[in-house]
Amino acid sequence: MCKVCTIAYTGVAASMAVSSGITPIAQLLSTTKESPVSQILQLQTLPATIGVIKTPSIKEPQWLIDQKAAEQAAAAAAGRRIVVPGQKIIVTYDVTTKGAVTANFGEFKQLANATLNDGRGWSRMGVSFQEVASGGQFTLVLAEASQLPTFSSGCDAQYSCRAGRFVIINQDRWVGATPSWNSAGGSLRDYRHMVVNHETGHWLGHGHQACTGAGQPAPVMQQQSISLQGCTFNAWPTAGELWSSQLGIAR
Amino acid sequence: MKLKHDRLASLFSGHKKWWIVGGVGFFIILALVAYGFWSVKVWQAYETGYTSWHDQLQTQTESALTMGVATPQAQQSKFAALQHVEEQAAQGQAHCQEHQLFHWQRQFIEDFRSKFDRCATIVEHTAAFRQDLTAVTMYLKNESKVVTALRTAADANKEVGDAEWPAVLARWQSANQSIKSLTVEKSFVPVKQLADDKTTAITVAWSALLQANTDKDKAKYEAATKVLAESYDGLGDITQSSESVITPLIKKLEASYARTFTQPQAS
Repeated sequence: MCKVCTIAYTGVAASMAVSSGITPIAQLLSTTKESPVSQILQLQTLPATIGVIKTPSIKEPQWLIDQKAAEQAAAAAAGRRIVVPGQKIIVTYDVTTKGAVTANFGEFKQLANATLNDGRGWSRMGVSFQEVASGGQFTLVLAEASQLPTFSSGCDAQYSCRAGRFVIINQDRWVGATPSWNSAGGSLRDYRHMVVNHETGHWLGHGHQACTGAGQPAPVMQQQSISLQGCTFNAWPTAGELWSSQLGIAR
Repeated sequence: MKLKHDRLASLFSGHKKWWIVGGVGFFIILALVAYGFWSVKVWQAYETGYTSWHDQLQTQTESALTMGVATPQAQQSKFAALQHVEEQAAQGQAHCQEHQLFHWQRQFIEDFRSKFDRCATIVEHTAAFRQDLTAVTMYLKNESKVVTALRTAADANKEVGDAEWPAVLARWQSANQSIKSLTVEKSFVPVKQLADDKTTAITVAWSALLQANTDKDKAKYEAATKVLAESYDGLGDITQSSESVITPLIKKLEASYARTFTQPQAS
């Protein structure tokens, strides 16, 4: 194109642009709006669907009810405490903190209560754990790691502990489990179930257990925080652990 | 009068060559000016065309994204609206095609070049947005297939007696088979596999409970109820797996949406 024409044309084009003001695309793009993209997740129904699928309540078959009744009768004859179906033993506990606790205390209380009353846990002995404001049969404590030794010389800052009426959960372990647990691929949630069950187990009268065999679920009273000893993770008391000298519930 | 005509004739005949040159030159200049004005109009229409398409696409996208999903029908409508957006977004390239008579001008005239470049940038961003939108919608469609399978198996929150256990097992086996048979996108394969594993675990647990009941074995029964509870808890892992896949897809879509509709389309 000749130079004169280009110049003339550019002049015409420039005057057109000036007379029309800002170009529409610039106008469009200069506005900033909040993105509605996240609203596409309204179509995501999987979490809500799974959230409402709960383990169904299993009605015990008659043969089992009969068998348990026979066992209770035998236990009664032997002078041991009877757990009557439908009549749970109530165990009260209060919850507190010690030291500088930065973990979510509300979540701690909620998860601890859910663990204690979980259908896989100690409640299978026919026990119901009730949190009370004070004066519980035992005190569940979420403690700063450095505070653990103040409960007993047998407690150290490394792990959780039980000392007398105090069931003490080490805040560092609550927040981050243990290196051996984590390196073995255990989840934090399972660790939390396990540590609450384990320390409460001590209060119920249990000592430590060893792994019963490679590949077997670890007894909850095994020191899984330290080593699994070839067992698999298990956050819940095994059938053989369902007894309590504290509550007078026989093996 | 005749004298005047004679003088003009002699003037033309004397400078005939120059007259022809002048006349032709005049028409060439006239044609060039007309061509110039025409090209301005064409380039304006070009810009208006792709701006309007982009505007309309933004409106349709916002409308589709903000649709409610209160009912399954509304959910299907939202999927359909998003599908329509994907189709519209695919038409961008056609809007960037310049008129054949004028496309050379953008090599010499900055204003036209910038119009073309803006269009090319918009089309490039829109193509990326479309790709990301497709990835998310395909993922969500796959997820909804799993949801449909799970809903058929979900147990009501009531006490289930041993007479009902075989029916519950059959429902979970059916759900498990439905999940196994799903054809899904690559991004959804890990979630599908997990859903398959977890529903398989539930069927295995129910089978064990049925066997313990048949054997009237208390130890097996107690072990089976524990495994059953764990298998139901395991379903939560599907949600976590799904979240871990969809979160980056959404972030990518957010970014491409911002580039396409809310950020300056610098070329």
